[in-house]
Amino acid sequence: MAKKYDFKASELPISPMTLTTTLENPTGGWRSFKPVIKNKTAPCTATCPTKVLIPHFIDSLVKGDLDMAANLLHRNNPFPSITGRLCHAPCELPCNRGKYDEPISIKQLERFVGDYYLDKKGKPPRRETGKRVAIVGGGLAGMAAAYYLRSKGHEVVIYDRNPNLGGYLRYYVPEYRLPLAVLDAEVGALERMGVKFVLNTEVGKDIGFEELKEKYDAVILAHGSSAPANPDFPGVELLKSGWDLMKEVREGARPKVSGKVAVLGNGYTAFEVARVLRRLGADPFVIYPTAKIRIPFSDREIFTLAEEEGVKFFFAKVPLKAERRNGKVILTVAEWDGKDIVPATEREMEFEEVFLAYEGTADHGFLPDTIRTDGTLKADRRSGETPLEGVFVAGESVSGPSPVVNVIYSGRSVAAAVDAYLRGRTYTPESMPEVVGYERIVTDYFPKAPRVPEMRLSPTERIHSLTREEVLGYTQELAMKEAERCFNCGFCNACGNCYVFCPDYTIKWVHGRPKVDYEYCKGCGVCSEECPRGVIDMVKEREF
Amino acid sequence: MKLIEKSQYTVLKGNYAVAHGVRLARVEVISAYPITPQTTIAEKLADMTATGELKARFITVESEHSAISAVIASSLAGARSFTATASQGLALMHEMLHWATGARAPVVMVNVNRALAPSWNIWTEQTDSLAQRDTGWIQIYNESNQEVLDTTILAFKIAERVYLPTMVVLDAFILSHTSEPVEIYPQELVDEFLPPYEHPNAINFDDPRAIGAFARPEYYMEFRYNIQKAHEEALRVFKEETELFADMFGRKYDTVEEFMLDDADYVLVLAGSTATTAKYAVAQLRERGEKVGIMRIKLFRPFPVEDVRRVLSGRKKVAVIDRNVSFGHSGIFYMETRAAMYGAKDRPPIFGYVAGLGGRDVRPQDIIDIYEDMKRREEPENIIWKGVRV
Ligand SMILES: Cc1cc2nc3c(=O)[nH]c(=O)nc-3n(C[C@H](O)[C@H](O)[C@H](O)COP(=O)(O)OP(=O)(O)OC[C@H]3O[C@@H](n4cnc5c(N)ncnc54)[C@H](O)[C@@H]3O)c2cc1C
Ligand code: SF4
Ligand code: SF4
Repeated sequence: MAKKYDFKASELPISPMTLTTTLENPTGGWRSFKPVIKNKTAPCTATCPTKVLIPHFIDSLVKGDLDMAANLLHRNNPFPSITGRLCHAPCELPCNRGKYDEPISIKQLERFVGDYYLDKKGKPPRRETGKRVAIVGGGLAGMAAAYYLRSKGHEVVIYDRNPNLGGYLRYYVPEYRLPLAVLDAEVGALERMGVKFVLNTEVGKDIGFEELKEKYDAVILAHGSSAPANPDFPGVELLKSGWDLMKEVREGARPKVSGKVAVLGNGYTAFEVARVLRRLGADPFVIYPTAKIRIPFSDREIFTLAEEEGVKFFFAKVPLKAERRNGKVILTVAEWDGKDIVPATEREMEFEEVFLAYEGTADHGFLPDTIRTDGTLKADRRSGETPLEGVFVAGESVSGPSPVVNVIYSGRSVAAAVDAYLRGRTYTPESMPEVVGYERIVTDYFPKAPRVPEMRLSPTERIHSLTREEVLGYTQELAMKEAERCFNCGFCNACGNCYVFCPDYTIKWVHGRPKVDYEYCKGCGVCSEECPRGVIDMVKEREF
Repeated sequence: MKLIEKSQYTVLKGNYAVAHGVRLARVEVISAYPITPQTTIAEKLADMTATGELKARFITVESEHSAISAVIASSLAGARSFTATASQGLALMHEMLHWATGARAPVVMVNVNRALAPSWNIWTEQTDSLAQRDTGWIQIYNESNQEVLDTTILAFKIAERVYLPTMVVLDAFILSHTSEPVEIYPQELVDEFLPPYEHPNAINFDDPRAIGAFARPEYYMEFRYNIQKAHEEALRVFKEETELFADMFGRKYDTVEEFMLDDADYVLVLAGSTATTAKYAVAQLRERGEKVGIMRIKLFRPFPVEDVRRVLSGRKKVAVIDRNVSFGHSGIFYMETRAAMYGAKDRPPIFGYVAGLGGRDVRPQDIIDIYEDMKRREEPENIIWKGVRV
């Protein structure tokens, strides 16, 4: 019988070693789970309506590359200097850092980077496609759509009935919230990109909608929702327009108003009108239909500012009647339970003046009936596609009163749909990878640090000026300090932890990023455990 | 002019003598973790690598376990590799000491003998290195700073001929931190003595193998047998290389050093720097006409059984003085000496003394006391505590 182990000790290699090369049997074969380096979505980005790449731009900021930060920021938000001032910042609510100490001051960082880049942006596209797009309305929605379509190389022409672009932002939002210089700079950037403006031209009056459709490959309707929509009650015609007041003030007028005045409204325009009245020297009361706790999140910031400034509120009340007696306005109001007037709650209130500040509505009068049903526009929520080929809708004209960031997203996503349409492709709405929860953050790597407060005027300083900006934001030093607090959830910022911790040196550093050498990775999972920001997942190799 | 005449004499602490030995050996990879009283070896070598005086990679680590792991790997990758430690650090390395032997990585390590804790104590004692007796390392004990430098160079030569890891041992503070004149040889001469290192199984990046592979019972024993054979070979190699060293550098070492033994009836056996004190005491005893000499054990593993028998057979009495203890039995050199003498012809009675633990001084008078105590005693005893207050 042949012996199975027919060898002598002297025939063994000096060191006990594999007989065959490990090149063909690398330790990677031992693995049952493999690490996958995959960027995810941070909760802030997931919540931002326009999906600003927040951990990405903050990382560049931390690394001192402000141009890159601006670049990343503009990917999904063309106007960070505007959102940095006006956005209600829903992104900050779910910020993972908020579960640790305090959320990141994302809006202020956005404003800092936006302002840094304000005069640098506005480059014409590298290539022209030869396709032409008309945009009706140069408000924020039209401007956002123009920005993205122009950067794709299309010819973009904005028609607006006003003498300048900006819509609400130019004519109604007060200077202390958004300086005109900022808006002008954004408009200037569009001009430098080569967007064309046809101003003082009302579509439906000065030029027909059909003509636009003829002349252009695509038309975007972004005409807003600024037609007055006041409730109907006796004496309403005796009241003043808060909208007109805002416009006058924005244009430099300082009308005299004093004593107890009321503002009737159903959104933040009412709060803003009250704040303007406070600055003009009056003692404003806002009569508001819902309870205090029902104020939507998007309006809360302005509500708080108004309250700090001494604006008073009557909640859950609606006006029933207005009369003028002895130069005063007598307003009859009643309790409102959300559906009906509460019986026997009527009472009279006396004011020097009452201002109407109800949110506007869209006027689609210039459009053909084929695009409307019962006066509302029919359109896809994301792409803005209408039943008319080549006609799209963006902004408040389709959504009704909305926060700036939603309007920007609308302009951006509609631009993507139009771009796809012009290129004969099908539009696919953008999808987001999975969101990184707080449990994936290894907080041991992050020392506790309080949120860096931005510079602001005090309420007393605020009510003394209609032009001084009320929020002053961050200096570079403060911005960097705040940026360093960000966990960069789900975004590999090349911290190198995985590289350092991998016990088998199978994580390589390639072009400044980690890369797993799967031939030798045993799948121990240390890298995944030590990634501070949840970028590395352990994925099952195969089902057994 | 002969190369050796280009030697320079300097005054060096033992730890720096080690560093110069390592430098002259052209070590390529060093990894060490600081621990008193070894730290200044690592510091000096870090300096030397930083300044470029020594072209080596210094790998900083978070523990001794990692330090020894790193140098085992670099040794198997084909680089001459060195580490140093003491006491707790050596104890922490224990697992990897076996590994070095099993993988046949001819790493050289210097261990500065220091007592183990608790009670915490940073002074000299041999228990730390002797407790690693069965890990398969060659162990060489030293008496002076010159010998430390010489042995460091020799250690690489021997280790790399038989592919066994080698430990060079010196006493805490008495050698490590005490200055003595040391001859530093010219590099060319050391280069002549110590050729560049090669390992037959060094990692080949085009055809890599996993070293330390699994071996089933059918193979395992043969690998172990080969390690034993390598140790036996190491004993011959030690003799050859110390001969060659003597020819080239003018200093003769042997497995055991014999001092005033020619006509000695009584022999004191010990290792390390205590031998110097003992030599002084023995010289005084000789003046009084006592026929006493010293056998200093230099090579502990492989144990030089033949030399020990040759030296000790036929004497009247032998006392082994251990600066270490194996609890439950006796001093370790004593145990080893007795085991070697079992079956030898004309075997003398052997008395075991334990002295100087935890750095307690062993003075010339203590040696004289031990000698006189041994002479007085009829029956040998395994463990006689010298200087303990009971
Ligand atoms: C007082 C006030 C304060 C606000 N504050 C905030 C805030 O703090 N935070 C926030 O998130 N949002 C705020 N908003 C909301 C924000 O301003 C709007 O979401 C945004 O400006 C809407 O943009 P849009 O482009 O859809 O509409 P608009 O800005 O109304 O733009 C529509 C444009 O279309 C033009 N147009 C209309 N019809 C025609 C036609 N037929 N032909 C040619 N041009 C036409 C108009 O002239 C206008 O320029 C505020 C709004 C107001 C009124
Ligand atoms: S746009 Fe608004 S929600 Fe989006 S990141 Fe900026 S502040 Fe946050
Ligand atoms: S820590 Fe940074 S990335 Fe994470 S949710 Fe907050 S802002 Fe976004």
